Amino acid sequence: MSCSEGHCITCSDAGEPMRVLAIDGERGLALCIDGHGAHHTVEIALVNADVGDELLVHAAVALTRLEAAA
Amino acid sequence: MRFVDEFRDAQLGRALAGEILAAVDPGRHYKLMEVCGGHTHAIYKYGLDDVLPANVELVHGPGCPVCVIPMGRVDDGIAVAEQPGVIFTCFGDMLRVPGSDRTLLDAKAAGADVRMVYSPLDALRIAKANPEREVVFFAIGFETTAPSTALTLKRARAEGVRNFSCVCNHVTIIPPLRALLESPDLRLDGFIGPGHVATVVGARPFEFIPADYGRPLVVAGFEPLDILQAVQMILRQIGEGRCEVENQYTRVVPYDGNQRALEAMAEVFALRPHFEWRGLGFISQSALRLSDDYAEFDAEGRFDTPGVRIADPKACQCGEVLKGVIKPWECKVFGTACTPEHAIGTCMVSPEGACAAYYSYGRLTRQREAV
Repeated sequence: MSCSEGHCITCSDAGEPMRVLAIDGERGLALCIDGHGAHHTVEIALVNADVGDELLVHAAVALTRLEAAA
Repeated sequence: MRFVDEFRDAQLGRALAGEILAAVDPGRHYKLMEVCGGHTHAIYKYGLDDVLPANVELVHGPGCPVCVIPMGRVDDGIAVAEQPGVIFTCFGDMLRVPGSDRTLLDAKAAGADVRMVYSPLDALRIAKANPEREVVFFAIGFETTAPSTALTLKRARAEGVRNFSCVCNHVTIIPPLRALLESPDLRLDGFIGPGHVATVVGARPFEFIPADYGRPLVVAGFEPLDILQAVQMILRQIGEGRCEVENQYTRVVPYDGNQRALEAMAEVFALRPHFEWRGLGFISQSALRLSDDYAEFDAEGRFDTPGVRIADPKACQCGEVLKGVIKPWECKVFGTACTPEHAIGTCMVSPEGACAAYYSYGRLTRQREAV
């Protein structure tokens, strides 16, 4: 989770959409890419995630899968 | 990026602004509170208040986690950070929040090992890489952030990391909303609900607002079209005589929240009987401590802290700003003694604070022009 445009996303209680590139199921982690092209390691214990899914990520933790609630 | 770009379409924004204009009664003033600091930031970043009719007023709520941290808790964090051998970790904006006489950034400049992290999981990694040091994470945030702290502590326990602990300042959104609704200072016509808190807790916990207080609430996302549509949905409810919780942010928010996150929080945290909010005073059952089961990770049990309540500086009117009683530019020190570079009040520290949002986007002294 990066800070962008001069503000701290984590401090703002805001999530950031990211797309899953790869999953390490054993460790419960996913490699994700954000809208700026930056890569992140994301904890996926709270969601069912597959490669290609869009996740809402906050403080390096995926809170929901975007399609799931649509 | 999908789920982002399509919610920034200017043409659709103009259409929504037209629908909002058509929905308002010109003889009535509407006061709507956006609860979340992320919404406040987006409103001024995108100039959304400029496309609203002049009789639709947006009032800024208490949902900026940095803004509601009282100075005494900052002093407690600095006291822990200055203990020998401690690596103290926290989110970026927290570094600049003033305590009674300095900030965590000042403590770092004076030699304390204070490090910025993006996640408590980063703090746990630092702990594993430095087993001879005590690593402390200063946890702040609403229900959006609390699950990441909970998962981190569950990992710390599972991996047997003993040199890691938290100063827990997590807060919950419902009690301050109830306190605001009970306040005689403020009359509101509706709420733009916090979309990412609702991702975790769901929209259902907000049902008391229409049920007990007769005010509509629309859970909203953070892109400009999300916020405009939420305003339009609130105004439509008022116009049609309805009063309910609606979910504008259905692409993200399940009505009943994220059960796995709620279970992790229930395991790791317990409610504090009361907690001090900057500007709002003590609010019952409004914050989280570590549960007895996770007490071994509680930094307040490992380190001595002053635990003293510090009154806000007299010149600072953050409390009235947080309650929406005054606009930031009505504060006596706004933009003069209190600026983002030298903040007196927390609302000027975090860009999600109403004062910093007004200052950064040029709302320095003026009332909004009529549309």
